[in-house]
Amino acid sequence: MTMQSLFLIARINGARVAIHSDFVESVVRIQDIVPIPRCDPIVVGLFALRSRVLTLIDSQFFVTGITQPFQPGALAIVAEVSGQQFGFLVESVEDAITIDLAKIEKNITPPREWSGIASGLVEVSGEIAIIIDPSPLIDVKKAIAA
Amino acid sequence: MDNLLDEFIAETRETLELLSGQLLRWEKDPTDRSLVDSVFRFVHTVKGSCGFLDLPRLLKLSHAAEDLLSSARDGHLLPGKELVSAILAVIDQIAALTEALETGKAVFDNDDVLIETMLSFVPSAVGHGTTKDKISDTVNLNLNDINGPIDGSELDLHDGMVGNPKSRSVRVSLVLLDKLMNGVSDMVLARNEVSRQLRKSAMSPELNHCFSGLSQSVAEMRDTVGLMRMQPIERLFSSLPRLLRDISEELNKDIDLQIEGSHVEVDREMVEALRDPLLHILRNAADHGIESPQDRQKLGKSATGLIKIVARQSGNQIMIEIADDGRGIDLEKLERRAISTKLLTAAQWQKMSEKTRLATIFLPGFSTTETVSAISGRGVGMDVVKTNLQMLGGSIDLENSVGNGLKISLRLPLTLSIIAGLSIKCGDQLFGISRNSVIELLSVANSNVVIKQVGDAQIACVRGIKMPYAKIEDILGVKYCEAITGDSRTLIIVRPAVGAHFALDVAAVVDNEELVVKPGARLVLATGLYAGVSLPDNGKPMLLLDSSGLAAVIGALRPGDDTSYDVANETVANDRSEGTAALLFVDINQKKAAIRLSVIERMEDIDASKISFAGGRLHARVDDNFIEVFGINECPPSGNIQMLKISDGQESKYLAVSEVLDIFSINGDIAPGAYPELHEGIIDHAGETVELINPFQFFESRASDVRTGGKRPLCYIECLEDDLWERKILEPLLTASGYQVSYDSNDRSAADVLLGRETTADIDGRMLRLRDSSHPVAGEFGSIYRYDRVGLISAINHRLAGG
Repeated sequence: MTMQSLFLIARINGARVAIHSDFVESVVRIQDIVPIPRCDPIVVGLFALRSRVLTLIDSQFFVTGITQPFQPGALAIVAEVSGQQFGFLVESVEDAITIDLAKIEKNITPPREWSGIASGLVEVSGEIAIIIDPSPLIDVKKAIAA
Repeated sequence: MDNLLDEFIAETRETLELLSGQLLRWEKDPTDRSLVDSVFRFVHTVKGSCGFLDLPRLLKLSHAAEDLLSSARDGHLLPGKELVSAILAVIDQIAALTEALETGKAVFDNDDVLIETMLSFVPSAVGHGTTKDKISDTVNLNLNDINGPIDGSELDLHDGMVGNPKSRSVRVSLVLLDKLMNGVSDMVLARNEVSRQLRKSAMSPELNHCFSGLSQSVAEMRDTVGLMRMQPIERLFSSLPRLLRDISEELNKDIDLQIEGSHVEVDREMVEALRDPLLHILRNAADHGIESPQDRQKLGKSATGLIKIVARQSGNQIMIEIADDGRGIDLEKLERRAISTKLLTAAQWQKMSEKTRLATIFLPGFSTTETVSAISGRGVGMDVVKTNLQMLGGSIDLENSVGNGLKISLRLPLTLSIIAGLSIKCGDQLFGISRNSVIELLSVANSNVVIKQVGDAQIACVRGIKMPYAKIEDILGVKYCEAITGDSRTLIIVRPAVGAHFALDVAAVVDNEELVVKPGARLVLATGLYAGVSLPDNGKPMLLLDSSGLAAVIGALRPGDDTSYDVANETVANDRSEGTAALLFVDINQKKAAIRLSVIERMEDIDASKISFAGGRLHARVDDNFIEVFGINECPPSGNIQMLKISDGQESKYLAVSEVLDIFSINGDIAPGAYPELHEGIIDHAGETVELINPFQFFESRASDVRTGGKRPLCYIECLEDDLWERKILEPLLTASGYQVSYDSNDRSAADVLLGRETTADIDGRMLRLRDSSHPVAGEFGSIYRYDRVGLISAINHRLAGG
């Protein structure tokens, strides 16, 4: 029996990424944010999801190092990472796909800018996707260093 | 004790379930040391708790099991089916007894048989056969014997549970509880949204009725869920007697502890957060407060000292008082200490009020005992207590009586998750700040405020006191909001939990509201500027500023230097002769007037719809309480009314005003006015004459009507069963005035006052006769007209005084 897991395929900075469904709670469009002055540039701001207040993360900043102004209606993946809830901005969401864990390439190094969050590469419907773990995005020390 | 027992039962029940599994795995894999270790640990814990809780049967069982397992741990015996069965039999019995503790049902006592069976496996046990066959024979035999009674007792237990329902509890993880609370919050928000949508469309009465039913149950559910986070403060108090016993033994003192109000419920987190400060205060009271038995006897006190801890709930706050009957704080000693440790100069000391002098014990590095004892007096005492309490949003007060003891009062919010907050405008967004850390709000245009440039930095000078100053926009790096720059900005004097006072210059203080604090993400808290986040009613998230973090950025770093502000404030006050601070406002009739600042609790905006004229007085309905309103004569039609909430320490009243103008010091004399009960006098404010309102008038009206304190005197009313006047008119009047009423002739002899309309023959000093006419008729002198309320109450009081 092969080990399979469900992954959400999305795009960040033009690249295809796969996020383990264990992290993902939902995908939402965000209309309005409240900026957080003096906060780490990877943090876009706060947004309300029903009665909860979540922190919105500019995922592409981790890769590019350039902040992008917030666009109302932006797409975010809502995920719980180490007990706290976040929204991770993505450009688009393609699909949720079951991936055979044995097919994940661990030997090929992902592109350098993705090191730190990429845990491997996988081919999904003919195209390569980077498997990412969102935890380092919200890691205080690493984020500041980046 | 009950609490401990409940805890023990819940814990044991939980571990027992895991334990059987462990035992069975051990049976399969006898070489796995970790399994037998964990079984041993459990039994050991149960044994310890049983000894502590005085449960002899459980103790015996667990002790035997421990012996056996200890031998197994040492490798002297390997598990077999029989051995494990015997251990399980003992564990089942432990489970049965544990359940029985809760239901109060007896469990058949065959403990000895079970223990003997189990111990027969221990190699050193003498008197049992050495061959394995023989042992298993005995075991089987005994187990068969045992099965009957165990089943029987289990049956009884179930019966017992049905017949004797005891309040049972379930242990729920905090995560699940939080999820539930979030769910309910979501539901409340969704309800609000539905309500908005419904209002837009034409609503049928049926739908309206259904929705209000739903709305009601949602509200009830929210309240219930809120209660789930609460627990009695007894959890905190129950450990104190033991602690005090240890301390008093070490100090060779004899101290009694009295605890009241253990049932008061507070937030779970608050219970934990209060533990350290409370222990510290208790240690101090025992060590510094209570004298040695010899000294106490010399002073004519009983040799045994007394520490009294009282908790009570008042509104959304909890008050905890810790009072001892020891020596109190010796102010002279305090002075010597404060000056010798260079915390204060003699000149500063001279200018301080007694209250401020007492408060020096909260200065860091302060300790009055000459010798450092193991218990307290290391100089890291009360300042830490105060800081901790302030971080919880609480405050601490001292009431000193030299020679008779010290009373420390703590005031804390009931929960950590809701704070009273101010929302502050900064750029185009709002920030929250805990009202607890705000001392004062001033207009920057106020003549008492001067902003001075010192190199690159700025300093605010408020009534002559200098303090660090910064604009909130500069701290946060936010653009100034153009729209408001024309108006005068507001200066907030902030007292951080850590650090000195500072002045924060903000565009405007927008609102005053209760904020539900939600934890912020670590990335957000890492800025050091925010304490958390909140979601106000408008649905837009709000960042809560951390006053200590702001203090660090602004450079107000001297830790805990509170007194400088108080001392300086007083110095300024003294320099200006009278120097009492007063608030200048415009009343509803557009006339300027002043009132002493000390009686004002805060300013509030009250919606006109909440004000009503009832019972001969104007009332505002606030959170299910009625607060009397002064300053206006009729219900305003609509809009918000600005109110000064004034308090005499017990009761609060509202004084309606049109506008608040300034806070100023009263310079010069207070010239007497014609109506001292209305105005304390006439004062000068910047060349203008204003009346200084006497707050006495707001409190005098009601308190005089109701008896307070002491036992409620019993009034026996002599009347027929269908006398409506006595039952419908007189009784409510007496009850409302603080008396008990009885019609039962058995109470007659015990009554303090007898009341009646019929002329009775017997002469009783307690008798008070009421008459129907306002004019006394011949033979009825000494009676009171039955509608003369004031006369009636005063006559009753006269009788009570023995007249």
